[in-house]
Amino acid sequence: MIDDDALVRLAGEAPFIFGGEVLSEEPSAAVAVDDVIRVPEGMTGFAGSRVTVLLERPLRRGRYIFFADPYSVGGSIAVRERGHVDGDEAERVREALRESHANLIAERFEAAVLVVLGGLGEVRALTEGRPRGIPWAVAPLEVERVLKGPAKQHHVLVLGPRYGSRRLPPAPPLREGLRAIFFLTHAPHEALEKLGEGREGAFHIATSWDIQPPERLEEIEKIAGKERKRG
Amino acid sequence: MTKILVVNMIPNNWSDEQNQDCEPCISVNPANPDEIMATAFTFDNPAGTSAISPAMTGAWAPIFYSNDGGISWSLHFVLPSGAGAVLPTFDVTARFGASGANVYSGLISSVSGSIIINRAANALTHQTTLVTRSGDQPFAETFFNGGQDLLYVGYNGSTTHATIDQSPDAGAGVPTFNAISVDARNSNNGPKTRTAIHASGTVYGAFYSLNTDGTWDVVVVKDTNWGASLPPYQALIGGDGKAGVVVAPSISVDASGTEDANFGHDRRGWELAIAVDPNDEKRVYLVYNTGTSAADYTLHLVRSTDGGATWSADARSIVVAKNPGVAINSLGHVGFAYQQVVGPTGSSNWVTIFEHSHDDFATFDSHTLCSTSSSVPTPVSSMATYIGDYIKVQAAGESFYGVFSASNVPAAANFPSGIHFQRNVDMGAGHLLGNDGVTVVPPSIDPFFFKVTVTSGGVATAIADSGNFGQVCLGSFHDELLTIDNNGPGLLTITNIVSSSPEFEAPSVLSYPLLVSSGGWIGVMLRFRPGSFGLKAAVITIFSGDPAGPHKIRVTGNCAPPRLSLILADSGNFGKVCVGAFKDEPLILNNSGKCTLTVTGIASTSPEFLSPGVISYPLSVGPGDALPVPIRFEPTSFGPKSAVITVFSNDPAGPRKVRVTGDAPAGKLTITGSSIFGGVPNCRREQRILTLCNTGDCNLHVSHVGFKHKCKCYRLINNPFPAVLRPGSCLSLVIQYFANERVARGCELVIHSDDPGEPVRIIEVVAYTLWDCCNCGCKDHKQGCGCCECCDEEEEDKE
Repeated sequence: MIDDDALVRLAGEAPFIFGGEVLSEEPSAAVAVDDVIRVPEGMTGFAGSRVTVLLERPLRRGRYIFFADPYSVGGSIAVRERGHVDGDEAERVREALRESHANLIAERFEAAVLVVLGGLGEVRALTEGRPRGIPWAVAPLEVERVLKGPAKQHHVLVLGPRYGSRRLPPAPPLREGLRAIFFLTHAPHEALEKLGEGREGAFHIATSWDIQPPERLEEIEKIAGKERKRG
Repeated sequence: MTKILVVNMIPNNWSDEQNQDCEPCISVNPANPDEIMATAFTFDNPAGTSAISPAMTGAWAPIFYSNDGGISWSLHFVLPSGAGAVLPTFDVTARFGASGANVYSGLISSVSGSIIINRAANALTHQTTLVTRSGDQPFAETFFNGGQDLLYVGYNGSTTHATIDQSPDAGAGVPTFNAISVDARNSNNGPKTRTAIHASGTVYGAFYSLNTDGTWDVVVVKDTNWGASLPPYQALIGGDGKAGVVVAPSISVDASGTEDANFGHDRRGWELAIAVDPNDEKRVYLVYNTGTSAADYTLHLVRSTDGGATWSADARSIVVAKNPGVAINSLGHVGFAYQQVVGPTGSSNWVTIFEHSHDDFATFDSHTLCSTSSSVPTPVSSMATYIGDYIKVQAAGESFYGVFSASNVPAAANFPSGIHFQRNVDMGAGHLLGNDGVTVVPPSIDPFFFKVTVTSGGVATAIADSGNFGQVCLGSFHDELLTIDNNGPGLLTITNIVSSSPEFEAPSVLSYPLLVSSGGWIGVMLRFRPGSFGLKAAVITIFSGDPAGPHKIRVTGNCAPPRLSLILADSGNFGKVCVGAFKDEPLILNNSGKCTLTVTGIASTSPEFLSPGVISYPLSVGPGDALPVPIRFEPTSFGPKSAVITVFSNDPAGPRKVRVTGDAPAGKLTITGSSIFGGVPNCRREQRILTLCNTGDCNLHVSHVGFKHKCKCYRLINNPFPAVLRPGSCLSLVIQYFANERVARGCELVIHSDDPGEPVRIIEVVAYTLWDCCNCGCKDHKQGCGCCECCDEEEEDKE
């Protein structure tokens, strides 16, 4: 029996969470997937498929919910088990996944100075050629809705790398036209120096978790409400 | 001729994938060429960069893996990454350990931004980090030596600049690494540092060096001891006395930091690839670029045949192109791949070309592997590169293996050399389909594997007498023509001809490979030069591209030895030879073998049998010939003689001996006559004659004849001795007796000679006086029958 905290942690880390019937009592068991709780983004066709699970320990035949990392993808799919619970704990797992996600959002929400729904405009490079440092760029962000921060913000500037940079690996590159919920922090001093004018309204996207799809607005608003109450 | 296989590497169960899987690299397991792995900017989820966030779902980025020679591929999630990372990794290359037992990678972590050099037991296992560095574009190469994996990771270090980071035993429990700065001139370099390794221990490194005036030098450094020389990488010295030869001095390279619409929506800068001939560590190919804009951006393929000291003019110049890959296969053929922008901006294509040449690009065949739009898909700006900053071509045996990234629009026309998709596609409609085989998936950049199999000729040989060179004498040789026919469909590339024996010499070819067109032939001369006697055999092996493997020819020959026979008359008996005389007999040296006999000396065990006084040896006796040499018997003493004459030669049977004999007889003294006088009347003189004869075969030296004691009544009259008596000759000796003795006394006549039978002969001389006064006639005659002393006689005797 996995306790709740461990389950939340497991749910937050495992790229694959699915339920299915173990068909063979072997270290690499064939599992008929009947319930997909989480798979890597963009992956379809997992439900109803038969996958190979490299088990931590052999399991008796039966239904389980697995937490797993990808192992191989080819003509078939194999995953490596991180853990499992009984097959009838799907709802508990889903709740753990939601809690894990909420925790992450809450953490990022708290770290942000400005959380808004909006769209990025044209990305303009602040460095020329292939710089030896971070390829800073700036893009205007048209704010549709403010979830945290001064409510009357309509336009802010976002500073970030023009493209993925090994000198600032967590920061996602600025993508023109991207409409999302942005968790913005203060821009690094180095970026502000590159920007020159307009520093006051310039922010930064620190990690890829700080960009969330608009579909999660309601979910994030709930978190924001909780955070405001807590604050 | 070549056979080409091109495979889209995205697995079938990843058909939903729509990311920009660019900047690929490939590694073929040297122990098993069917096992291949590749890397690219491939996420652990099909959405990847198309998603808002996160980019990476989990902590492990995939490699592409094939165990069937590249026909099918799967993804294995083994490279260190991190959930939420914006890229699976930054620059990444992975290599099979040259032992085939380990897998290594050099990559920039998308979590830390550092270079991490990693290892796993195989391609399917999570890799663990061995060492962490700071820098750009790690590019790993491996080699196997002495049971150990040598790992070389070239990169542009943050503080070490152009760097070769190497481990002499990367498979060790805790391997050591040594980051070596290889630019002796400047401290700013292009991102790429590339290495090429040869089994001799020669390691080449290539990099761009930024001069103070803003121009660039393309530099090649070399080490001849696996990079472990002290100091390392200084085997090439430039004209300025500094390590490294500047291949392209003061060139202009103006890199674009991000995508350039005029350059197929990709960025430009510092193209570099290097390869060394596995059969010749001095033959090196290098690709670099010049150019300050898309229009003049040019790849230059150059060659060195002297180990990097000097470089040719461009063997190939390719404009508006990037991502060179170059490799040299076991036949010495060169494979050169690149990606070129063809067409005007806005409607250009990225065209991936593979060129193959067996003659250093005097001629070559060119194959378009892929030609797809540079605008479909729309570039993802978050990577700054569209198809990536490098590709890789590797040779394994005679085949070339490579990988490139390009648009994956599934249309046959896009892949003139053929294409095999694993992911779901509708080739007729030109659509990618998702995992369900129905949903249309937008085009994206995919990695493509290619394999170029050089279709080789076949070896057939002909040689006279089934390879039997016949009889050849030591010190000489015999040549036979070996005809090599190409009975295969393609060009036959002969990379070496070797003999299992130094006595059968393979042709001394100035420069391999030898090329034989299909249906053609060449003749090469084989030489049998025996180094010793006896029957000889060897195997001549022709190494070529013949798929049947090395061709072997058995050759034989004989090196029969000379044979010395000795012939001497009368079984070596010289007969009788007197002391002081000599006799010569010819000793016949006969060579009954088939090769020249060399006589190096003749010796005798006795000085009385003399070997010839040859001024200088050796004497040569041709096959079947005979040479008489005189042997002299010259005795110095009497009696039978013998000796052994030994003849030294190159007859492998050893020295030959012949026994010689002879006899040295002496003279023999024979005496006739009487020395008995009987009674002689007093005062009378009587004479007797003795005749001394030599009845022997040789001279008799009679050295003295005289009385042993004083005998005053006896005299030798006109004694002729000493004298030499010839065989059969005689000399007489007259003995006179003067009878006047009162008492009869005998006397002994002594004869000395060299008659060995009786060198001293004593003859009794007997006489007595008959006293009769009537006979007395002495002057001092006394009255009566007294003594008649004859003093005169005594006086005469005294004389």
